[in-house]
Amino acid sequence: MRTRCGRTVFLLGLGLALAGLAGCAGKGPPKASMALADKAINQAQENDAASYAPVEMQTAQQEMQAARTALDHGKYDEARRQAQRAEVDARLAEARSRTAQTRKITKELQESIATLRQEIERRQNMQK
Amino acid sequence: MRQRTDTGLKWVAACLAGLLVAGCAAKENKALDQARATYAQAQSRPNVAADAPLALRDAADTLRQAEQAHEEEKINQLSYLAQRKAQIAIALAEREEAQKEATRLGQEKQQILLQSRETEAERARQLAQSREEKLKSAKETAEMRAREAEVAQARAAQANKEIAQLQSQISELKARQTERGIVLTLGDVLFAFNKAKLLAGAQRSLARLAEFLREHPDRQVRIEGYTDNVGSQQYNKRLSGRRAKAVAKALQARGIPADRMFTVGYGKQYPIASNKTPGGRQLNRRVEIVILNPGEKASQHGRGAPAK
Repeated sequence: MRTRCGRTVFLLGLGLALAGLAGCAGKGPPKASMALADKAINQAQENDAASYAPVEMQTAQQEMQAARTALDHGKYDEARRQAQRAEVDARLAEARSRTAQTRKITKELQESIATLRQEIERRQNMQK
Repeated sequence: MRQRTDTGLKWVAACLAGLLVAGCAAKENKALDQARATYAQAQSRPNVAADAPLALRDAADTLRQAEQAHEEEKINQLSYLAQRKAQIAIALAEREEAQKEATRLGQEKQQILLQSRETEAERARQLAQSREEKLKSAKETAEMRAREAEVAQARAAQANKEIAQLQSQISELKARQTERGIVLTLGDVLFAFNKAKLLAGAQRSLARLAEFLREHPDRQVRIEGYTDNVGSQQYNKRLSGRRAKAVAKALQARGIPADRMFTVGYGKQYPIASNKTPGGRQLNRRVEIVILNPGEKASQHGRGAPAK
């Protein structure tokens, strides 16, 4: 009874340990993660992230470079991690770039409205 | 022996379990703290949940995975991803906010432009109206002037007609328009020789002249007698004066008041022809009737002071 119980505990522990190892260790190159990161970076570039969110964009590109280097050295886990980071950083760069561009439009509209108001006021004063 | 092996295996299992527990304890790391803080920040902004719900849920899921992970490397990785996802959610919400503001400003600008255009149109309309009124008033003035000109023209035509009428009525008297007025000449043949008595031939002409003067009561008349140079000046002046008075009397007899007429005898002064021929002398023996322009006084339109 005691022995059976101990064996059960042992098997459970071994299983958990194996499962943990399997979770950490990917099998083969992280093709999907690399592809997602690439796509995210391209999309960020299309949205002028290099101009409007340069820091985030640079981080994403450095991580992507690190992912490729790791892949070349067969360090698939490291490559996956860097690719995942590159993807979220690229998405953040895109989101912040779009926000900055919209804010720029907002600012331009505000200035244009102020100019318009001044112009109208000037014309009204001229008429008086 | 079997017992010992069992014990050994038990120990290994215990060690592995201990490792797992240690892994759980190591969860309290810096990356995870940062991820939690950023997620909390995203969650505390109501517009993030409203405008970027999917991104916020994605961040929450990744954060939960990070909290449930056991290995430090995995916790770090998931925390990094969770923090970035929370930041993405915040950025998306901020963009939505900016987009709404841009839309509102765009509408405001349109409104201002529209209002400005309406004001401009109203101003143009008022300007056009004022121009039209000015034009109308100018037109009315022009029409008034035209009417006045027409009236003046009609008056001038009337005056010309009067002259023509007079000329036709008394063509025998050779009426002519001069700067002094209309001048009629009664020739010598209408008077008895060396006398002031008018002959019957003059009556018809005088009747017509009287008729004209009755029709134009605003005109006064100067009646001036002239002679040739035969005889003394005193005699000639008296004769010419008497002849003028005879004409005035004849007109008075035909209803022309005496105060409308002024008579004078100039004698041989102001000859109109040479006195060297009988024909010239006959032309000089005459009475001139000057019908003055309306409103002029007969006593004030003489031919200068008569000579002695």
